[in-house]
Amino acid sequence: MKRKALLLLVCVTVALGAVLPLAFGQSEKLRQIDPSQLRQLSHEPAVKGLSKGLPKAKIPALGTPTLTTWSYSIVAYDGNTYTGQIVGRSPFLRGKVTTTIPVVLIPLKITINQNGSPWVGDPLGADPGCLGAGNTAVGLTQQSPLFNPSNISMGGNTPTPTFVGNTTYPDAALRASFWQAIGATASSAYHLALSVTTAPEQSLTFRGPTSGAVEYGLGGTQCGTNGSGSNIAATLGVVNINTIDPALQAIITNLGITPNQFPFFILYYDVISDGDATNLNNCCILGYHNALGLPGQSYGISEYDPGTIFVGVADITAMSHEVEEWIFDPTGVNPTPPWGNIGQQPNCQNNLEVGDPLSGSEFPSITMPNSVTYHPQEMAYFWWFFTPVSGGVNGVFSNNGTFLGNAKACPPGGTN
Amino acid sequence: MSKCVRLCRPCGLVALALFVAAAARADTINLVTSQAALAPNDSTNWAQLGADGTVVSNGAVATSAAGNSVTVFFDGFGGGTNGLTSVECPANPSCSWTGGFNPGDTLLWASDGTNGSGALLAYFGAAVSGAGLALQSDAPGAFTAEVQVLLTNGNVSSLVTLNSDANGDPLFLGLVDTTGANIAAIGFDIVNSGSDHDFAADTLYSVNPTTATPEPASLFLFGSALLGMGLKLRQRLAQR
Repeated sequence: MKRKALLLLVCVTVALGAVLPLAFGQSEKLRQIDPSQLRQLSHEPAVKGLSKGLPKAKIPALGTPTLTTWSYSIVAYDGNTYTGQIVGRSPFLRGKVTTTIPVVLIPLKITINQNGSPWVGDPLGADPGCLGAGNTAVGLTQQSPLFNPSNISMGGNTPTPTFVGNTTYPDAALRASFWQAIGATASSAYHLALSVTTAPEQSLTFRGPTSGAVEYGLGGTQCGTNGSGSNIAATLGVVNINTIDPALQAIITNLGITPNQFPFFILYYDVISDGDATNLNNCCILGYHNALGLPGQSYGISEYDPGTIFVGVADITAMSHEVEEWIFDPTGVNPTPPWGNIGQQPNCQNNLEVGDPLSGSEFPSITMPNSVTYHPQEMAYFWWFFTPVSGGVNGVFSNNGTFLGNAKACPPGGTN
Repeated sequence: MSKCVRLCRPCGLVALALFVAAAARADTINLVTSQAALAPNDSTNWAQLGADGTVVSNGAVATSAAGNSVTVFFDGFGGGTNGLTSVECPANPSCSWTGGFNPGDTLLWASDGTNGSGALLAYFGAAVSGAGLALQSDAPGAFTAEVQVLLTNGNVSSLVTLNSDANGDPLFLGLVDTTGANIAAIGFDIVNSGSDHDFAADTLYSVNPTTATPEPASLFLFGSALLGMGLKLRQRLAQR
């Protein structure tokens, strides 16, 4: 028996010896970069660039259901009045109900043919080293606090977080932002529910390295263990936003998605560049949201993050950013006084993107019934952009209390 | 339902005016703007129709504290087809109204959750001599409310409108028939532009006929009886 066991051990060792170099060697076929060379970019300029290429307005056919939104109008600290559209029902109406928005998750498999090999980022593929055995990026997204309730408290330690409800993270962030308006109680019936379905996986194939797409090998310590197939360890695909966006629009059309729905594409092991994908300075947009026409079809895309590539980013960090921004600014053009020089925005920006000023600032992690701990991003309250008085929970200006005052006009920007 | 429509449809005001003349013949209808002025002896609490957010269908029947049945209808001028119960915040386990009613009060919300469904009509099983409630527009800001009653003789009263304060705080309005318990139904609505006939109504108060203030005719009979009793008593005393 001892000899047999020893033989087995030798066999396993030999087998592992054959596999491990493969596992850690595949990425060496690619241009190697250190994750520290990667930085998160604001999707704002890139999406603005996209809009320029679109028709002025895609007018939906008569009778086409539209996204449920409400209009706000607010006089800001600069004396100007700003109006825009937010998803759901107005929290300022005296009656509170749940508004349900259909969300269609679209798994998007990206294949980049480069150096004679297909490099596949597959959100439905296994990646036990990063996701745990039996899990996929899509499955973990479906089970995440983006679409499932948990007990959530917000407002930061000012002095203590306030329980805002047993609800999803996007709804909790919305309720926290309009806390006074919804009745300042966790029992308020005001909710924005996201009713999720998942579309069949869609596939896009690109040739690399080109300005449209490129696959990199990653140094540093990566969580992946796959040596072949999809989601190969220590790799990262980058796709030019100008290349992928028309493909997303075509998929939305092909799937028959209507403007009342929010299609949300899920990437894994792939991110987006603002322009030429081979220029690292153009990388990395982890997700974005956009809309075709006013009003029209809104949509979003984000990576599910393996957790070891970008500092301060894991699992649903980027997804939470995009979903919440879509809620507060579904068309991407809700105007605000210029703000900036904060979060992921080194310049000035003038729209109601509640995630951008706090990119890199995590909300306290949330552990779900699947025992996975998720890492959503902290979000700025509506009030941060407009007024020195907050109607948000705890009277602060972001849902983890990082912002204690409203935005300063940009330039120079920053926060009070 | 034909009576409901006739009762409150704004375009029927001209026709209503004709009825008013008839109504005025026999009944005097006065507006009251406070619960105290109504001096109710009965009330109908909407909590019996369900917890916060319960759908209230046309024809739902509630029962007043004194046992009078109250059947509610939504005319749907705002497009809604039914109503909802709504509890003023803060309250547990759920609340869906933030307007300044007493916290925990259960309201009847003339909305299907998307569109307003006013006017709100309440039909009494037994006619009353007065009824009223506090109501408030769903939309923030000031509003204009109106009230009207259907009398047991089939006539309707003239439409009475009342403006809220600038904040749009809950507004009490009701009507009293000083001639007797002749009110078969009462209707309420919010009519200012953009209101979408969407509002919430608090507890319905009424003046129950069994204990209502006697009509002058009744008083006369009652007085005559007393006089007769007094005269008989005087005769008996004189015979002794």
